[in-house]
Amino acid sequence: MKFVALCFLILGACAKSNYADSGGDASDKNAACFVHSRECVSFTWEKMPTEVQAGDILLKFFLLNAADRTQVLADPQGKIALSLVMPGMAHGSSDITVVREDTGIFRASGLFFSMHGAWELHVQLKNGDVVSDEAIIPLHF
Amino acid sequence: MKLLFLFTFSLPLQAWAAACCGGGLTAPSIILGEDSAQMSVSYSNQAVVSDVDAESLWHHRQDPETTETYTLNVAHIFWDRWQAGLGLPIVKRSLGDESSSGLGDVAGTLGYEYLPEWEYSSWRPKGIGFVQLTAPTGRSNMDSDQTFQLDVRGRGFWTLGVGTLLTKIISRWDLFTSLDVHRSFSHSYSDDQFTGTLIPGYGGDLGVGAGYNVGPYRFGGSITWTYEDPIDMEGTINSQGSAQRYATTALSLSYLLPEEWSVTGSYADQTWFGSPTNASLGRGLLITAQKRWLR
Repeated sequence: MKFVALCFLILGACAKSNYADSGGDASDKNAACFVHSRECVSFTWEKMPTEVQAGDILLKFFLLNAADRTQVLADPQGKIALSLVMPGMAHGSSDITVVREDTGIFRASGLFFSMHGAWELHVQLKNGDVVSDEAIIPLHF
Repeated sequence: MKLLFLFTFSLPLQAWAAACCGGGLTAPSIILGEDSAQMSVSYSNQAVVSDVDAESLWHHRQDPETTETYTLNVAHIFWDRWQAGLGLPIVKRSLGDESSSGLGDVAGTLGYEYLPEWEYSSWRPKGIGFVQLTAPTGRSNMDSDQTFQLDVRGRGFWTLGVGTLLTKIISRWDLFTSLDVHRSFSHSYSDDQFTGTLIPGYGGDLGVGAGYNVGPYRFGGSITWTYEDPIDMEGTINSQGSAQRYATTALSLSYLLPEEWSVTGSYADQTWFGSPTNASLGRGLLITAQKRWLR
């Protein structure tokens, strides 16, 4: 009987709403390197996403100079595919459009976050349908 | 008889679920009273007010997403203590100026009254066991083709569950408890960019509720705790999910009309109790009209 009462007390306890700091800057690190190549990718927000509006980013693909580790812009080897994934919920988001602007510079639009929490931006390089390399940038909305 | 009849209003409240991306399982359609058949039509309007991430941190929504659901529930005794039911939801999701509507996940139920109330007992409840099969007729998140994914109206998995409902009337009070365990099965997805498989696991609901009956009125309250195993992604994108947990509290007022008709208004809130994690929490109203046919 005591066990049953204890279960009810635990299950029936009021929800403790531990609110996170406000803001959706999605800017944990904004950079990651690919798994197989020496190339890295970073991004900056051009249009910040909101709960009712998709965001746009500017992607920079670069290699690190062997001498002083400065960034050297370079186009990636393969077709770029971008996707937002919320790993905790195992779902993605809507399609993202990628357009090349200059050497190593790409504009991606349509980044929509369907809910708040931890997300990942998967930047994949593809040869045909095969993913040849991938960089994962964690972000928070 | 009236008391037993009004029990039925407690069940649709299980239809409330984590609102992100189409909601949860459709509630089982089950006859709890001494009727041969019943049909109910309900309308719910729910707003997502907070997201809770996998670290159990809450995020308040500035622009709540709303979900309107019209549900048709039918159930029929087809042989002795056996019954069959069907739940058919039509879901409309809105965010800002955008909206989308269509069929949600359809659920079929097969029930058996394993603890009948043929004679009075001061302690023994009435018990109904059920098997429920949910079909992924509502579009899932990975099958969405809209920017805001408002066309997501289901979980995207075939789900098979077993459960039980226990009810007891004591004077003017009625009490119920429900328990179900379900298993969701893998779902493959493919579009021009990504292919893969979503691998879900087990889940369960535990509900308790009570009602106080005065003439044709019933004042009720219930709370249902829901748990879902993590969902993993394999394929073009690989990731491991997190478990989902939340509790739904509901308050209801029912009124019995002539000729076996009745209406119920309910308020449900997912921010009051439990320790939610990895879920979108909503609150809203549910209105149900029900017709039953006596045995």
